[in-house]
Amino acid sequence: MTLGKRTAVVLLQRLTTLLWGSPPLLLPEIVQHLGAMGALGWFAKNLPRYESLMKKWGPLRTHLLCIEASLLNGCSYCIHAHAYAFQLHYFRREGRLFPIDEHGVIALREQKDDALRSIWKDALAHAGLDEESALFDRLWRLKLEGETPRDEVSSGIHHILNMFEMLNFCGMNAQTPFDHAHDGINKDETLKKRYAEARLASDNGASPST
Amino acid sequence: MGVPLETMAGYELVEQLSANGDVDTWRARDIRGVDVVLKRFPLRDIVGFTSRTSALLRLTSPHAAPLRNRGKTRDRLYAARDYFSAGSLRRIAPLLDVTTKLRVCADIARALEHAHRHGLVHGAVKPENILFGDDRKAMLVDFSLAGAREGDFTPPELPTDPRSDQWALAAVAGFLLVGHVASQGETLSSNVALDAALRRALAHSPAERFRGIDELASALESAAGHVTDTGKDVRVERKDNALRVQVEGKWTAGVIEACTREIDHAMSRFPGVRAIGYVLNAVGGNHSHAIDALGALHHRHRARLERVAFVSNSPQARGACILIGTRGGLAWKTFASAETMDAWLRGGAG
Repeated sequence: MTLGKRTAVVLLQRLTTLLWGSPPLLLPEIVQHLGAMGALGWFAKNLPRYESLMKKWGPLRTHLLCIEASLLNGCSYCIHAHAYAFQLHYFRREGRLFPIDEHGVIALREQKDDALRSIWKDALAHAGLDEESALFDRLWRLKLEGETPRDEVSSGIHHILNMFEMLNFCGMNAQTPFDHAHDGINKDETLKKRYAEARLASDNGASPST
Repeated sequence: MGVPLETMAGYELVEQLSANGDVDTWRARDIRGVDVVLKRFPLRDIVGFTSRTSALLRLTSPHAAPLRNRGKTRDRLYAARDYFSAGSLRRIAPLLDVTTKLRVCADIARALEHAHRHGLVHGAVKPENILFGDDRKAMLVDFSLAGAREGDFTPPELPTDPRSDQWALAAVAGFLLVGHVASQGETLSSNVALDAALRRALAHSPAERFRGIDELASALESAAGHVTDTGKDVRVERKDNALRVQVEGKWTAGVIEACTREIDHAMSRFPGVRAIGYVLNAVGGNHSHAIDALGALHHRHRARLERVAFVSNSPQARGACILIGTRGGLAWKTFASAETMDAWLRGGAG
């Protein structure tokens, strides 16, 4: 890696550490793919819009859309990073667990589209997130049915889809190992511990034979 | 009557198999009287333990030992898996012929490929962690839950990357083929393609190895004569100014070769073609090689091609489309139906 690329990686690592407590393992691959200036330019162009969507829609909706974009593209790394962030926010807000844990969401990528859609919408309904289910349908149409954005909401979803086309490419191309929740909530160690304890207690998705 | 055995979370601890720091492994008996292997961990890494075991619970590979149970007591975390009575690959290897050895390695490579997609790096692939049950099926155990990471099958780097497992499995395959731990540069097989694949997987730097372990798995399967490869799962036809390419089944060498050959042929036969529309539902096989070959093919025809589009029916197949599309450097899009794809290829949508 050239000095310019290494510098870009370090700058992006500092920025993301500030935001999320530790840097994503994907950053070197992004810099490798886009080049040093390309990667810095990509973050300068996309991050402010992403942060403003996060502010407007809140973390649950934003992370759900990030999960859904990555799920349709089949990128396990990005699904994990956003599903874990979503699970922590949902657990903190609702005081209960989302019906499918982050690894169960990743396993959905092995389903055919029809089954995936039905399982995901059921999970959203059980979690009391019906409004988000309607947004998933919009994301689906924008991504796979050639629909073009016609209002502010679909233009926000479109922005997320565009961002994740590049991020998912990098995640899958490098087969990046999973890291952490890509959100400031990642810094809350107590919450992460409580969430892990709740998952173990519920043994969600387990198949104990004893 | 003997002394009552120590119990934990409903398991009777029968015999300690190993201990490494504050992690210990036991042969234990569940409430049905069935033997299991129980691994016990300290409480302090509950976050990492829960994440790793959650991923393990989702593994469905026939050659990855499933996690049967996991939990927490007042002072310990524990994970239980099946007990395999027939012994390890280290013990059984002398009884196996070369084809069976290669087949075992290919099966384990596919188990690792599956685990890597679930974010798990094994970190300690070695003959002692490949076990056989009464059905003689090879099972990889101790995913990401292994203790000490040192010895002949440990890669040069810290094993935190999926490519570390690739190195370790190639070292195991070399050990099975030549009967000892192979040294740098040693010929591992008289099969030239397999020897080259193993050497690449054993490269000192992870960047020089295969990008994905599926490429090593495919080389092992071919050498074991384990591949049905007709290349008949590919169909290429012309539709207006576009080629329609349909690929089903697995990404075998024959399918990839047929795909690139047929597209190249159609591109020279129909000079008016400006786009390619794929109906692409192939998954598995040598997926990484397919992505490289098709990405390069698009790049080669970039002077004429304006658009490439894909229809897939699953995220796994669509993942390959994204890699192929981006690598080719052309405008590309994925769709749920061929009708919408055709409209976009004609320039009428999106």
